[in-house]
Amino acid sequence: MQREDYNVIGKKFNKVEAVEKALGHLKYAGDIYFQNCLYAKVLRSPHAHAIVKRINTSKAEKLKGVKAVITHKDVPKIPTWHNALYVFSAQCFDSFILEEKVRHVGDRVAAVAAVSPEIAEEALELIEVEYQLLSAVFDRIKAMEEDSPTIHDFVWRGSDKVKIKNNILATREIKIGDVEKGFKEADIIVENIYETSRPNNAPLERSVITCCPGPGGSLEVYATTQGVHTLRMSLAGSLGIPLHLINVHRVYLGGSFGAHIHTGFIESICALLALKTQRPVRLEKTRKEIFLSCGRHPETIKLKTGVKKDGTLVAQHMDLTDDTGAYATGAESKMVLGAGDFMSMYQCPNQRFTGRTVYTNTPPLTAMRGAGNPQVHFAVESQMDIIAEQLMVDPIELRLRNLIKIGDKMYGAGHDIFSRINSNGTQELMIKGAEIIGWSRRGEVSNDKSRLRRGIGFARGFHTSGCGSEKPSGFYVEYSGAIVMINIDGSVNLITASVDSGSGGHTVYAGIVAEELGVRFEDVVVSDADTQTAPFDCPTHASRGTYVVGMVSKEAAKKAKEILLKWASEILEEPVNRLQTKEGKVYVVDQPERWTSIEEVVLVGHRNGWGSVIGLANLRPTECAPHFTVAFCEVEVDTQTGKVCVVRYIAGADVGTVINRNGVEGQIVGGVHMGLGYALLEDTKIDETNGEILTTNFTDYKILSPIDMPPVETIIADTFEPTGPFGAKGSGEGVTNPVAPAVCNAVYNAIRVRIKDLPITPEKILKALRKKSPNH
Amino acid sequence: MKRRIELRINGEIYELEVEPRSTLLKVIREILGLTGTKCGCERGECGSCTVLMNGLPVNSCLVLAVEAEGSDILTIEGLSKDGTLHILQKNFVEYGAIQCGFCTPGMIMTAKALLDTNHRPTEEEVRQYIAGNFCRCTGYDKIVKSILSSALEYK
Repeated sequence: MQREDYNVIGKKFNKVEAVEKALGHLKYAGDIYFQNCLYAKVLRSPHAHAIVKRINTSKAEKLKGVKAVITHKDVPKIPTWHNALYVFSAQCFDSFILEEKVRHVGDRVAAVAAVSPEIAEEALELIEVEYQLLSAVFDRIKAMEEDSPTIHDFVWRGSDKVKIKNNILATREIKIGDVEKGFKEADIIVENIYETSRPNNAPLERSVITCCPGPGGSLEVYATTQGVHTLRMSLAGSLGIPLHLINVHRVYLGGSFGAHIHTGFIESICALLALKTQRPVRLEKTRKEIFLSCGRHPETIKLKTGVKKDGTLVAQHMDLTDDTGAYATGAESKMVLGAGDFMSMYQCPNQRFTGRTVYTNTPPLTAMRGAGNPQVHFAVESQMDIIAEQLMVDPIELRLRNLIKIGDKMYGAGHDIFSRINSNGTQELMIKGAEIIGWSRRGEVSNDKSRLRRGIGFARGFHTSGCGSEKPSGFYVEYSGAIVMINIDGSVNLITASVDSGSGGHTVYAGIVAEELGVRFEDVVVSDADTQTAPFDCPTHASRGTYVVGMVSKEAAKKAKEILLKWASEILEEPVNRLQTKEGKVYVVDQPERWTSIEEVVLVGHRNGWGSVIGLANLRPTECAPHFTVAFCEVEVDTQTGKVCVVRYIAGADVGTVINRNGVEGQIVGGVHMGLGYALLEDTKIDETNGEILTTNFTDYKILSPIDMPPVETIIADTFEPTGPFGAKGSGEGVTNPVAPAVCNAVYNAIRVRIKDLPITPEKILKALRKKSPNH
Repeated sequence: MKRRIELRINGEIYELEVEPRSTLLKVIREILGLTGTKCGCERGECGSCTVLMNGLPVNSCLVLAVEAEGSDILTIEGLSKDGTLHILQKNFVEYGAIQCGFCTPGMIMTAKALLDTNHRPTEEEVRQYIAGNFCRCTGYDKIVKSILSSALEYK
C-alpha cells in the first residue's frame, strides 16, 4: 500500500473550528451559563492525612443563599469511579465522593451549593471540622516501609476487595529471555538511578462541570472532559443511577494533556448537588485546585544495562517505583505503560521489568502527555548516552545498532498490548537531524573553559497511536464508533463523540471523511454530539485520534459512499464498480463527461423516499502503530549561574501520512514546549514537613514563555503506515517523550555533568560543577 | 451595595448595576454575555483575560468594573467588523496558530495593541510583548509568525 495523490489530505486547510475560536464565539464548558444556576465549592483538607472526626455544617446551611451542604454522610456508599476508560475489573476504586478520611492536603471534605460563588465560599468557612491527625508519608520509597502510615487499608479492583500492604497498589514482574545469563555475557554493565519530577498538566482552561437536572431524575451535563461516554458511565456508576438518565454534551476543551480523563472528584460532587437541589449546579476548579488534581507521576527508576563491546544490548533490567499520590486515578497504568515503553525502546533479547505503584499522601497524579513514557525515556536515553561514552561509540551509531525494526513486536501501552511495527522513520530522522544540527561539532566542546559553554545532545523515542492490540487488552477499553451522513445539499455530517482538546482531531477526521467520500473539505461538518446521539468513543488519549477515530470515520464514510454509489448507479445507469467520486461529483471512471453531483444523487433519493445516505462503523484497532520521534538539542550553559538555555532544537517525527501539516507541526512544537518544561522548569513543590503544595499559581509554577522557547525546526519522515487511515499515525505524545533526555545529554556534552533527577535546575548544575572542581 | 456605572465596550454604551468588587472580566462575561474573554487563573498571571483599555492591554481579572468607567474597552468580539475577520484573526487561523484556542482571544488583543503602536516589530519584540500571554498548546512559534505576518499587512 502506498501514499497516493490525495485531493484533500496533505493539502492546506484550516481547522474546522478555528474561525469560531478566533472570533471568541466558540463556547467552552465554562462559557455556557444557565438560568437559576447554583455555584458549588469544595471544602478541602488542610491536612495531609487525618480522620474527619466530627463535621458540623449547621452554620453553613443557615447562611442566606446556601441551598445544600454535603459531607461524607450524604454521599452514596459506592466507591467513586475514577476512570471508565479501563475495563471494569482493572479499575481501581479507592475513594468516596467525599471522604471521612482525608489523604492529602486538598482532599475533599464537604461541598456547598449556593446562589453565588462568593456565598458558597463564605459557607465553606462556616463548616466546622474536627480532624484527628494521622502521620503522613510523602516519599514513595519511605511509603513502602513496614512502619509507614497506611494510606489505604484496602481498595476494590472491579468488584474484588484487595488488601493493600505497605501502600503498594500493584506490582508487575515481566521477564523475557534470561537477564542473569545476559548480564554474564555483557562486556560492560551500566547501572544508574534516575528520579523524575511532578509537573502539572496546566491546561489554560480551568475545569468546569455544570449538571442540569431534568424530569424523572435525569441530568444534562456540560463538562470539561476528554470523554463524554466515560464521564456518563462514571457518573452513573458513582451515583448508582441508571446510565440512560444522564446525557453528557461534548464541547471543545481549552487544552487537557490528560488532566480531564479521570472523573471521580468534582464531577460526582456536582452531579450529586444538582440532583439534591434540583437546580443546575456549576462547579469550577480554581487554578489552585487544578494544581492539586492532576500531574505527571514522579518515579524512581533503577536501570541496569548490559552491553557488548560492539554496542549490542544483551540484557537490561528496569526497576520502577511509580508514585500515584493519594488516589490511583489510573490504577497502575503509568507503571505498566512504562514497562511496555522500556521493553520496546530497543532490541534486547533478555529483559526484565520490576515495577510497583505506590500511594503517598500527596495530591493524586493522573495522565499527562506521554503518560509513563517520558519518565522511562529519560532513564533509557540518558543511559544510552552514558553507554556510548564508555564504549567510545557515537551515540547515534549506538542507537542504530539496537533499533527496533519493521516486523518487530511492539509492546505498546503496557506489556499485554502489542502489535507489529509496520513503519519506522527513526533512522531517516536521526541522520537528517544530525546533519541539520551539525552533530560533528560535539567534540569541539571538551577544552572549552569559558563561562558560557555549548553542548549538543540527542535522544529518540516513540509513543503508540492508541491502545490497540491483537487481542483486547485486559486493561483498556479501546474501540470507536462513527456515523457519516450525506445531506440533500451535498454537505456531510460526521457524528463522533470524540473530544478535541486542541489537537485538531476534528479537523483531521473531517479531512479523512472528505477524502474518502470525494467531497471538498469545506463540505464536511463535525456535528455537535452527546451521549444520546453519538456512538461510544473512548476519551481522547494515547494519541489515538488520527489513527483510531480517523480510521473509523473513514470506514463510516466508506459505508455511506456504498449507498451513494448504489443510488448513483441507478441514476447514471452504470454498475457501481465503474463509478468514482471527486470534488462533490459522481462520474463514470473512463467517461468523466458522464457525471452527476453528489447533491443530486441524495436529492433523487430524498424525492423517491429511498432513505438517508448514512454509514455507521465500529472499530476495535488490532494495532497501535507507534509514531517515532527524535530530538536534537543545542544548549548553552552558564557555568556561573547554572542556567541552561536551549538555543536550538530539531524535532523529528514519523507520523506516517501527514493529514494536516499545520496540525502536526503545532503538535510537535507544543510537545517540545511541554518537554522542555519537564526538562528544565516544571515541578510541583511539596512541603516535606506537612504535605502542603507550594506551587499553586503561575508565579510559582513556571512554564516556558515565548522568550524562553528556542527556535524549533521540524522534520517529518517520509513513511506510510499501512494500518492507519491513508497511512497516518498519531503525533501528540511521541514528540514530548525524548525531550528531557536530549536536553540532559546536551548539558553533559557542554559541561561533563550528568543530572539524573528532573528538572535540571541551575542549583543542581552549580552543585555538580562545584563537586567536580571545588574551586569553581 | 451595587453601584450604577456606564461602560463603553466595543463602541457600545452599557448602563449597569455592579458590585464594587466585581471585576471587569466578570461583568463582560456574566452580565454582558461576552464570553470570548477567558478566565484562566483569576490572578493576572496567564493573560487569557486580556482586553484593551484605551488601546492598552490589561488583565481584566485585575481591573474592577467601576475602575473601567470612562475608558474605551475593546474585547475580542469587537475586533471583527461586519463579519470580516481582523487581519490578526485571519492570520492566526491560516498559520495554524490556534490549537485549543483558549489563549487566542487574549493573545490577539495583546498583538493588536503591539501592532497599533509598533508597525514593524522584530521577532524579539513580539516575543517580549506577548510574554504575559501563556499558551500551553502551540509553543508560540506559529503565534509569533502570524503576528509578524500581520504586521506586514497592517493598516
